[in-house]
Amino acid sequence: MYDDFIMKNIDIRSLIKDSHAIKPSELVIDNTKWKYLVRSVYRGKNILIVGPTGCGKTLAAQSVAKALDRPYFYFNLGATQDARASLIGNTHYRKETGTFFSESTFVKAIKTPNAVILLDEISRAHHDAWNVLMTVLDDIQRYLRLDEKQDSEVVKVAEGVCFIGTANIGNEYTATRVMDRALMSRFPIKVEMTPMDFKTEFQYLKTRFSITEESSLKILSAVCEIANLTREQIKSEDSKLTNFIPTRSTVEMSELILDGFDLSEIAETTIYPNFMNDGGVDSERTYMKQVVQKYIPNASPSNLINDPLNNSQPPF
Amino acid sequence: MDTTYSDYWLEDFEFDEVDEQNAINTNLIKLSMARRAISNFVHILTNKNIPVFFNDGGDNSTDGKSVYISSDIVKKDDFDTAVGLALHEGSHVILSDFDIFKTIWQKVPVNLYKHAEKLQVSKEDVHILVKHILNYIEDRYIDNFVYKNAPGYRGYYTALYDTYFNSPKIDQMLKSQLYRTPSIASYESRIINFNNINTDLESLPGLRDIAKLINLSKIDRLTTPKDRLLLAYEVCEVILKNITEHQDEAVKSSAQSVMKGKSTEDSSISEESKDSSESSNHNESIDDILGGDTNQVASSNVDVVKDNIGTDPKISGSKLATIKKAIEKQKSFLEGNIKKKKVTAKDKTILDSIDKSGITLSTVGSTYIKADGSHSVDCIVVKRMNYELLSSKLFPLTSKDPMKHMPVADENITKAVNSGIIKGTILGRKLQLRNESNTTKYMRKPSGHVDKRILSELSFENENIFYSMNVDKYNKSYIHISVDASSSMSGEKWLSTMTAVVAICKAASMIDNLRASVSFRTTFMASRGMDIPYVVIAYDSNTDKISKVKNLFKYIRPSGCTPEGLCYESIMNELPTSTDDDFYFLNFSDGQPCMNYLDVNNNSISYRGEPAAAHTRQQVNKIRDRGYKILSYFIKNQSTSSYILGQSDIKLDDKIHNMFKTMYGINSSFVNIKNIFDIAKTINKMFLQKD
Repeated sequence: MYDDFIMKNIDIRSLIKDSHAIKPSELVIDNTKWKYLVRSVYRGKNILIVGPTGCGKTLAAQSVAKALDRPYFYFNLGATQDARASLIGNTHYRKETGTFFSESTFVKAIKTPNAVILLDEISRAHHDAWNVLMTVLDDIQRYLRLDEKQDSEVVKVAEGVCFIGTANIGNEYTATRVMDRALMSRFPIKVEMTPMDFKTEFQYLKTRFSITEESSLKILSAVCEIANLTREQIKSEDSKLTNFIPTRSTVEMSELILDGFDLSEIAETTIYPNFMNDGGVDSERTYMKQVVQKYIPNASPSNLINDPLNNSQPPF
Repeated sequence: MDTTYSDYWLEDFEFDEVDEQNAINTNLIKLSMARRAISNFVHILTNKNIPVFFNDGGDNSTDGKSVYISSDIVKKDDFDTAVGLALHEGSHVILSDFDIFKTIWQKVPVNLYKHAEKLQVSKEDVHILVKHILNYIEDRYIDNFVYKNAPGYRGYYTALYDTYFNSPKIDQMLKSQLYRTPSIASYESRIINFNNINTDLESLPGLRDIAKLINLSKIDRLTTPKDRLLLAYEVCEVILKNITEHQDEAVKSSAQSVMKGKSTEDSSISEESKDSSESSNHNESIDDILGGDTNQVASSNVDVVKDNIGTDPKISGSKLATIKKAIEKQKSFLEGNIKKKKVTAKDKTILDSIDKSGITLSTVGSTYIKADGSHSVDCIVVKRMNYELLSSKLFPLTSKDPMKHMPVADENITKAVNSGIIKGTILGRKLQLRNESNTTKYMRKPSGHVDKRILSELSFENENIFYSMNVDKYNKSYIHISVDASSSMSGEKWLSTMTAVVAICKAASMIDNLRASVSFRTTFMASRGMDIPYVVIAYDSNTDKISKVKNLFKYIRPSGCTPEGLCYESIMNELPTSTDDDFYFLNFSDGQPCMNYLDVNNNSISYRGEPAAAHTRQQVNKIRDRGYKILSYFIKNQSTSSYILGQSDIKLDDKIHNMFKTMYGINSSFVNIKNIFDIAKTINKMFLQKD
């Protein structure tokens, strides 16, 4: 028995050690965070992935399930209208069979051994959903009561089931609720996803879309810089913007680059519409136009670009 | 008009021609907006919130903490230069070490002083030379930064340099025989124009070596301020060394020519005696050349070393003066002493007030169609009313004490405001139902939760044993009160309006999820001697305390005309929208739109009658489309009635009443606003209204 335990742990340790080998190329996440994520799924821990919109939280959860070849279930709690029906099930009546309980997909999911269950946008979920999840996520209780009656049937969470919650953190998300401390404590593992910085995002998009042409790379670089500027800007106290460009949008923009759009066209179609035009010259859109203009080269004839040693070659 | 680089982000932006001496210049509002737009560039370039100010005549040099620009923006074409200047100053903030200029003299290499001593040039002059050269290198370094990092901003830089730096006089100077005599002035002038296509590296000895030293193509190698300072020292050393050599040669050749002259005059002196007395004769000859007096020698030599720029017979005296002026302008530019147009103290006070109150202009009336097309006009929008604004000439709704320049409160209005606070407390209690939530349980449903109480009914073939719950809770709400503050609202109408408005604000402050804001609309005498619409947001419970209502509303008195729809058009941009909250728009008005204005094409436009009412209705519908429920109170004198002239049977009030209905339709309310219960009833009805 003890030998089994040792052997099993050695296996897991070596798997965790080599976790970078199973990291999918389309996922941009720090190697240590990925290792932590893989390890926590192996150990059947509840994991909460936090970060701003579009930074790859859902993708990370999907990727880890796929990489470890685990049964994967997805529940968008932010889009749930009736928490009880979605998480537990509904009672129906048929003349022939009488009343019967039709269990939800969630019940099926928690009964599946080694399943990875993604509770997407848990920060947007209704309080009712949180209440249902309290016992399920508790590492001692690990059950789901189908009714509130004390002696009613309970569904035990199967062995190896791992819950991954995703949450948008920050006051810019209007429908996000402040998460209950008791619920937060049921996620001992917190993985913080940060938006990609300029270099990482540029490399990622360059590789993902195989952009090699120099002119296209220049546009891609500008797009990444602009996106990064908006992300930095929104964090500042007296931000000039109320919106930012997430990686989801830069992915779209990269596709436009591949389709032959130049920076002005990309800005007109995908950047400016996301920023308000109210206030004319004081508007967010004016600010964004000024930002984008920085990267649109113009051939300005000027004495400023003459080199006295070689008049034909501009110094800058 | 030529295309400017600013066209990319700047749409219609024209300054007015000012011809009315006493009118408040709305151009100042535009100037303030321009400053804000230009300061964005400094923010983008530096990624810091560095304040950008107009030059006000004080110590307005960019110091790393703030940036000063010229107020010389009178037309759209001026933006490029202004942006260029802001970028230039902004890049100094991020790349230059302003302290290094204070310590230049502490680190000057000894060699420089040795050369200077030889040339009898003071240490101060050496410091000035180093400062000029360092400034030039700094400017080239920061230009390079903008050129590389912001290729789209190059045009602004070009516009800046074309305005302040480059001139045809400089081209003429570079091609001429001037500034070819080795002196500090010549070297400085030639070096600072290295970038000019007419530059001639053979015009002065060592100039090519200096160009190689600076190596503009690789200026970005000078990454630290120290690197740039060391290069400046090196360049200065080459300059002084070459001037010294030139001086030595000049002296030598002069001495030789004197000696030649002497030997022809006195051929009897033997060769031996000539050799032995060579040195003493030499000294004599210098004195002879330069006038014989040693002190005079010293001062004139310094002048030669510093300022000798040589001569060119093709350049007349007056031309020379303009060239010198152009060079001086360039040096001022390098030193950061650009001549920036100042704003007057009076204008500065108004600009400060504009900034504090968040005053902007919004173009409205584009859909006010008459037979000959649309007639847009600028509308002043004040986002934050404050005491300074009430005291300034930018606020038309107060009476001011001419001596103290302070607003004067009206006793009756003060009473009306106080009464509003008391009535508001009562109203607040009547509107409290918004804090409550209602739960409705729907029973005997075919699906849902099992209702255990009636479970046994299944045996009687009743299948509807389920229930569902519906919680009815009020969303967060926003109520905007727009008040017609035209002069027709004076007297009894104004007092009752103020009481009602203050009461609603007070009541809203007592309700948790209700935000209230108040705006007044009127007209303002603009720079062209004509009225323009004016909207001021006087209170917003999100940012202001209810004490603001009590303390400031007593100063507000009606004045001006009734631009109704034009004001609605501009206030619309300030109204929040969201899918989650409930929005309400309350209007207090005594009737029909009425004003005259000059449109953007200088046409005199009458905004009244049916077309104006239709335009107002259009705007009301737009507000409704933004998710606002509208309630419009018609304010009339309770005690008197007016009749239309010549038609004694038609009451004027009735005509206006009908016009009011045209504008607001079913949302018109003709209750007596003096009665707080009537207000409570109408507001509650609006709150309870379902979509």
